[in-house]
Amino acid sequence: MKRRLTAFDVFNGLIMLLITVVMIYPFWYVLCYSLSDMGMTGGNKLLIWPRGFSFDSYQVAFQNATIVHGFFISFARSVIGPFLMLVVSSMAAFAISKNDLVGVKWIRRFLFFSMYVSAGLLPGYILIRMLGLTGTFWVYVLPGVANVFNIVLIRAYMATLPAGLEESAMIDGATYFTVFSRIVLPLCVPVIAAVTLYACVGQWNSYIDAQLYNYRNPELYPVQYILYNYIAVKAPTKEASAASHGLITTAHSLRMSVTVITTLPILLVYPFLQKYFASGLLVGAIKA
Amino acid sequence: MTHGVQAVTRRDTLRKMVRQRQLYLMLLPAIAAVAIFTYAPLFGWWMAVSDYKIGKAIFDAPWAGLKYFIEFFTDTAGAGHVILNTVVMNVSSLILGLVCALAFAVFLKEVRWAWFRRFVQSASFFPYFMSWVIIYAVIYALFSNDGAVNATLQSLGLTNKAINILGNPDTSWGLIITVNVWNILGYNSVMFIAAIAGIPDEQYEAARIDGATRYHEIRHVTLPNLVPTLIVLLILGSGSIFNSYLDQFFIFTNTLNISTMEVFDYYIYRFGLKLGNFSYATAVGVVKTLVSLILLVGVNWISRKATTQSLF
Repeated sequence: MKRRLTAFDVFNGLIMLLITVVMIYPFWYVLCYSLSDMGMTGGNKLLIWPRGFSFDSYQVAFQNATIVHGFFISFARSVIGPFLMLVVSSMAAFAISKNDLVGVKWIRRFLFFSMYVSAGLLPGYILIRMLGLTGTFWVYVLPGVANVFNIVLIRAYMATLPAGLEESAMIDGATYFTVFSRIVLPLCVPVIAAVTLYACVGQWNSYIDAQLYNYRNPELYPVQYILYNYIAVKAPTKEASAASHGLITTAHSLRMSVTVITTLPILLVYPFLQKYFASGLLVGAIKA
Repeated sequence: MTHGVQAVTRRDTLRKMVRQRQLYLMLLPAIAAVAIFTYAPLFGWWMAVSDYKIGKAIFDAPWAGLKYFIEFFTDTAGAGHVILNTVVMNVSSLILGLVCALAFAVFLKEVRWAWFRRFVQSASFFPYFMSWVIIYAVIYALFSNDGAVNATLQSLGLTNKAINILGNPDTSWGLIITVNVWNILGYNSVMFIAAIAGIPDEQYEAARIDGATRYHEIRHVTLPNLVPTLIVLLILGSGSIFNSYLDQFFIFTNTLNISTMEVFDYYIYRFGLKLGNFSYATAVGVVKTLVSLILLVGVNWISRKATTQSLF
């Protein structure tokens, strides 16, 4: 039953367009500002398009050794963190998906209950110090290696696989580990890809761990923390006591360009992030 | 007799465990990590009932009883605003976030053109995947004293003084609630969009045969089908009414707006790591965790009695 286009359709379309603008424009503005000619941005008005055009602020950013090193740290944690998480969590998911494993009920309870308890910031801080992880790169990746939420997601996906495959392989004398690595894991690619991608984004976006554990080690600052420091130095309170005008402009557009560069990797994986989310893969698993 | 049977089954169990040793080996890293990073810190709760000094061994700290808990509950001048800020911002963000997402999903469904629907949905996710640093950088660029919005308003002659919403105690709650709703809209709406996709077409067809308009379809078909999803999401969210993202508040809280911006997680950070009062801050953290657990179980129980919707 096809219906005529009504006033409601037009109005609804406009509302949706407005929502799109509200979601995207703030980021678009920063992009426009960062690409604007520094000499011309003095007025600092709302932009729909860059005023003038220049890559100067990007050049400044890429010539800054601190920023470049920050990107390196961010990339390292976004690769190593998700990889370790994947190995640990997928193996655990496979093991607890076996109903005949002796004691599996207790093991599941032990894992699942951990999602509802958290000792809190300070006991966690003391532990990290006692483990000697403060001031090391490993503080970024080790605390998250066993992600119970991801274990639940992967296990839910494994439950949908046909059981016959594994059984026949076991009868043929394959070990659990072979079944896992050769049969089950390749079939789990969709869920593995989804949780890995989300873990990458999580790692890329973190900065508070650097503030808590590594603020004395600038060589371990991820780019998000460097950007945070750029913003924090010019917190609303200290606004008045700024230096000369030219310096502000430069600092301002440098902040903008670093913001854009930091956003880019997310933008690159965005179609995939959205695909896994909208396809209901994660949502379906959450419900299961 | 029974003794012998038990011995046999025990031997069988052991034999089975040996056969399954690879599974245990595969579980080991995860079990160890959860034990170390989630359960072991629970011993740190000892700090809450003792006088812990940083740098000393935790269990050497002398017993202090409930001193720090009493301090938190009686010294309301210090903590009252924290409870109020946390609850107001989180409850409003939770309810408004879900209601807006529900409305968004309902009206998105009514969009005729599939490509436009996909485009709007893609855009709605965008802020969710950004870090709080990026979000603050963007908000700062637009809304700070010399940000683009103030500059534009001033040049149009609409105001002559910059409106500061980032460092103003009167605007903290509104700022955070707006930012949270904006940030979470796409994420929350996915659940509702999935629920709408699950509504059988027959329900709409039956409604149309009865002469329903689109308003009637939304009111009597779509909305009733979304209520269970809304309730589950409200239950899920109610467990975190005392939890905030330190990532977010670390950056949004400043000396100007701290009276209305400070939440539990920031308060714990400030008293513990900035002021070095580990025992007091841990006690506050313990209260926060326990109240959250009780709340989650309680809301779940009420919901199960009242609507048959529950998590466990």
